[in-house]
Amino acid sequence: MSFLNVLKARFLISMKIYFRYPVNVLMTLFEPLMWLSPFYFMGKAFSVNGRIEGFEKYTGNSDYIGFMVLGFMVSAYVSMIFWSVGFSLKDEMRQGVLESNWSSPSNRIALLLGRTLFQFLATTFEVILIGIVCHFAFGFTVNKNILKAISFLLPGIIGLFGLGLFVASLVLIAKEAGPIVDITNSTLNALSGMAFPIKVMPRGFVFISMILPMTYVNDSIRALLLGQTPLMPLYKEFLIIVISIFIFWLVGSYAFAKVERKCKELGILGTH
Amino acid sequence: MQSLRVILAVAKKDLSTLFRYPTWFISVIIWPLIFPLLYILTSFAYAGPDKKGLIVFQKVAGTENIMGYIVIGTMVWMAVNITMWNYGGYLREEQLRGTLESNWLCPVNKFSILLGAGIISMVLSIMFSVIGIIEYRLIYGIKFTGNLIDWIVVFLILFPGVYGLGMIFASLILWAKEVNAAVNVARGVMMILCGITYPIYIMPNWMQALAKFLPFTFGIQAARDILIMDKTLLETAYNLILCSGEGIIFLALGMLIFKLVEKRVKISGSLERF
Repeated sequence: MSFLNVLKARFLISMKIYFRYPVNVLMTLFEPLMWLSPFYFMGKAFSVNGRIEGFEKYTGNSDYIGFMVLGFMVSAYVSMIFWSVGFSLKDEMRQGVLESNWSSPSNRIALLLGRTLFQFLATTFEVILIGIVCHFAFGFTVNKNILKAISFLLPGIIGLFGLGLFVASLVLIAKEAGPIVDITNSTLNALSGMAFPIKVMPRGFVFISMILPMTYVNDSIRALLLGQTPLMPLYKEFLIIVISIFIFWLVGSYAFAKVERKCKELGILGTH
Repeated sequence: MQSLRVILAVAKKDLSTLFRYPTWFISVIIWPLIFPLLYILTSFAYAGPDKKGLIVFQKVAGTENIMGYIVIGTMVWMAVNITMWNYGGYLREEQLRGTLESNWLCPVNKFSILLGAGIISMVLSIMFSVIGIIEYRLIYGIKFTGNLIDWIVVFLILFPGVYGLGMIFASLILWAKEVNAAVNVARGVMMILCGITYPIYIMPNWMQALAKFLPFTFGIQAARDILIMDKTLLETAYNLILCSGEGIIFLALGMLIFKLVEKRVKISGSLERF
């Protein structure tokens, strides 16, 4: 079966399941309110005359809502990749179809990515909704550099798909997705400055943040869309993001191939 | 007696499943540490490099122990969150496995099945809270006030509300067949309204009025009074009474909704569908 046919088939499955439970779409309107309200009201508790001076010293301006919402949008993509890759495996284990799907003569990476591809489109739609909801709820606005910001975001997401393969290998070994996906996803989001400028963390953590490409995705997007001060010149951030694509894909596909081979040798794909 | 056997059998079965996938233990250790850290570091970011902004927040929150203020809010939220996922989603999980209908056909009280499921989430909530408090004391250096008995009382008064809400959602999920959305609504409402990281009077008046209908708003305040503000049980009696009173109403509502949904799914024959 060709790579594209597998992608198409998996894309359709994913789409059918998504639209089968329409409440999920409605949740998109509610989730940004749920996750961002604690930060929004906490910001209010810190503000004097609508300004948070302390925050300005870290980022260059007082737009903490823009900072949070953009971080939340990027984290939506990170979560989408980790959850859809990790959980598609666990779901198929539970439904008892993983072994039969993997017995077919199709590329395993295409099997995994096909489901994620639809989720990517759905997440993009959701991110637009998040922007609209946050505009009305919290007064979120950005400037006109949207296309430039997308050119930083896209390579970051492509790199993350490679990291997703690594997470899939862990799920295959542990036969459980929840804690693995939850912790890697949250840690990556936190360390890459989803909710706060990375400079507030202790030095050891700042060092880890500086080697994560998502830190530069968050930082460059905020610099472009909110006019906040970036960690380094934007062309350098772009270069780091692009290099990370190769590293993540190399490590991810190597780990996945190794674990898949081991699972086949042991014959444990059907058990969970 | 028969109900007790059912409760124990369900709890034993779930305990075996829990230990079959030991990765949950990583969550128990790591989640209490990293979840409040997001809010703690955000508060540091708002406070600025010289931490001057903390004075503004301290005035609003009424305590200098800002880290303690945040970890208590998030700790209660996590206890509700675990219960919602494990307990609220229990019947749906059985439905997905294809075992719900066969279990339902057994000549036992269906409510006992739900009670048995509650034991595991109770064990997990207790573990999360105990490990959390130890980690906050040792790693974050947060100083807690009050004594063990006061802490246990605060923990116990949260239970009726948590399980009442869990029961309502377990029943509604059985009918609506969608866990994620239901759990997100429950924990989201709590996250927005109950003041897990800020005092509720920062919110607009209409939101404050809504917050007062949730037992967790008073539960979190009582926990803060006892654990960081060195108040006695008597001094926070108002919060304790409202938290447990509203919790009991939630519990009664949960039992009622469970009975209604049980009847409805039997008539429609939709127990095995998902």
